[in-house]
Amino acid sequence: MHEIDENSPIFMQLREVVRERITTGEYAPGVAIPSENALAQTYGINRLTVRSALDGLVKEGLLKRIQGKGVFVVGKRIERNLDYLTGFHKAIEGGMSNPYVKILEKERRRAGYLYAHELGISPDDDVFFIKRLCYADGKPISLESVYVPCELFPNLMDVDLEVFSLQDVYGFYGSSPDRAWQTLDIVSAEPKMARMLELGENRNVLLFTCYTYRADGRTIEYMQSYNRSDSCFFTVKVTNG
Amino acid sequence: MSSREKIAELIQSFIIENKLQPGDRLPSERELCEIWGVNRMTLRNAIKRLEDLGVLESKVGLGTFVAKPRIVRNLQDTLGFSDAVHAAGGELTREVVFCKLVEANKFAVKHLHVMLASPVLALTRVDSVNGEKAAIESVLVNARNCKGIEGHDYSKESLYGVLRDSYGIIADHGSEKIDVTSLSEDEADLLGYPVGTAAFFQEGLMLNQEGNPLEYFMNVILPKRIILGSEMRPFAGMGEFDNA
Repeated sequence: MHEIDENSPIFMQLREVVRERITTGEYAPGVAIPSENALAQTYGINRLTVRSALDGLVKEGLLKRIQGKGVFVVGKRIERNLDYLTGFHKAIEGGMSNPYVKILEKERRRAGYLYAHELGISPDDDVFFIKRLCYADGKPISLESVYVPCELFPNLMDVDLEVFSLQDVYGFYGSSPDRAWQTLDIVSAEPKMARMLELGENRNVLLFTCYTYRADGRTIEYMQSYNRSDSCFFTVKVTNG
Repeated sequence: MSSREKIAELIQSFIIENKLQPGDRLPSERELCEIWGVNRMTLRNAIKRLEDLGVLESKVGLGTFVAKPRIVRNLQDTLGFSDAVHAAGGELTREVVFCKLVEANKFAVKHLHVMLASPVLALTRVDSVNGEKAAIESVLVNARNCKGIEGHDYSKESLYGVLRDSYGIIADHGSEKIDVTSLSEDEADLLGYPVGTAAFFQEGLMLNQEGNPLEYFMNVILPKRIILGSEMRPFAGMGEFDNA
């Protein structure tokens, strides 16, 4: 391949500029890069030229174009084959189709004693708190609260979590989950939760709590997930090893 | 975050910050309302929430206490459940309510994959943790090569122990499904809990080392007494398991 220099076509030069910024982290994984219009304006070039510059990077898998949202930087992928993991697996009656996550709240806050305790950090450390509602086939399935230490994922606040999953983000920052401790409980949904999950008479929900650790033992995530008991169940493999 | 959630977090933080232990009493509702500047109603809602989550325990006339952690039944634990309860400082007792060698009916054919009328052990036990009824365990076991299997005392002996020691059969691996049920009249009767109480329904199939169905089980577990746990990790020796 030829070196890209000032004699190369403009779209190729822009492509290398964007690639360089992805490599250095100026454009962070999970975060949208400047819009095509903004890039066109900055460099005094045609929008179609910007588009062909980015198309190459989309094809290479470095960028991801989301209709109506923009162009996002994709970080390292982690392969996750659930068949190769033990533990509870959530299943949806009739199969999981058209999964969709709606982010209800996303904030950076002080951990406080409770979440410091759950995450093994200091109460004065900051955590990201994410509250999300997960849908399958247009119906709400679970309401989840997720707590993540800010220190491990400094850019999380800028990541569009309706585009990238937290698993994606963990992979981007080289903190792949290694193991998790999970419990299941049954609790009664309070009125507000019942409304969000569109529960009828039956207020019993399956509470799935999960602590996720990376290989060095640090807790990377604490999650509480309230699941509709009429549409979800959990499966687990057992061995008498 | 709702005010109820905020107060619930304050209460849990108070317990951790002040290193309160199970059985320790929380300050009175009036004191807590004063400390945090919240109304009584919101505080009570938060306490109720934490009781439901097994964090607190209210005793009429005595106050609100930090609850003893519930027993977690780790579904991947290689220890038997009895040993696991013991390790958690509790005691598991089992009462046999049904134990008979029966002929496989349509239900057994469907779930245990045996021939109609072949011998099947039907065993139902009620488990108690520290003397409080906690679960009903019902199993169907393929008893084709297990003469006399119904003669053991399953309040003392473990089923897997009997299969292994008396018949050389190993319950090796399997899979199970967990969802929510509400207690039927019979179940409510056995557990001494109201009809309709929410409980785990755990159902699954264990296979022997050759991969043939050995045991079909259906457990009804009270979440007030036992919660379920599982460790997620890359599966050791997964290749063999997946081909089984």
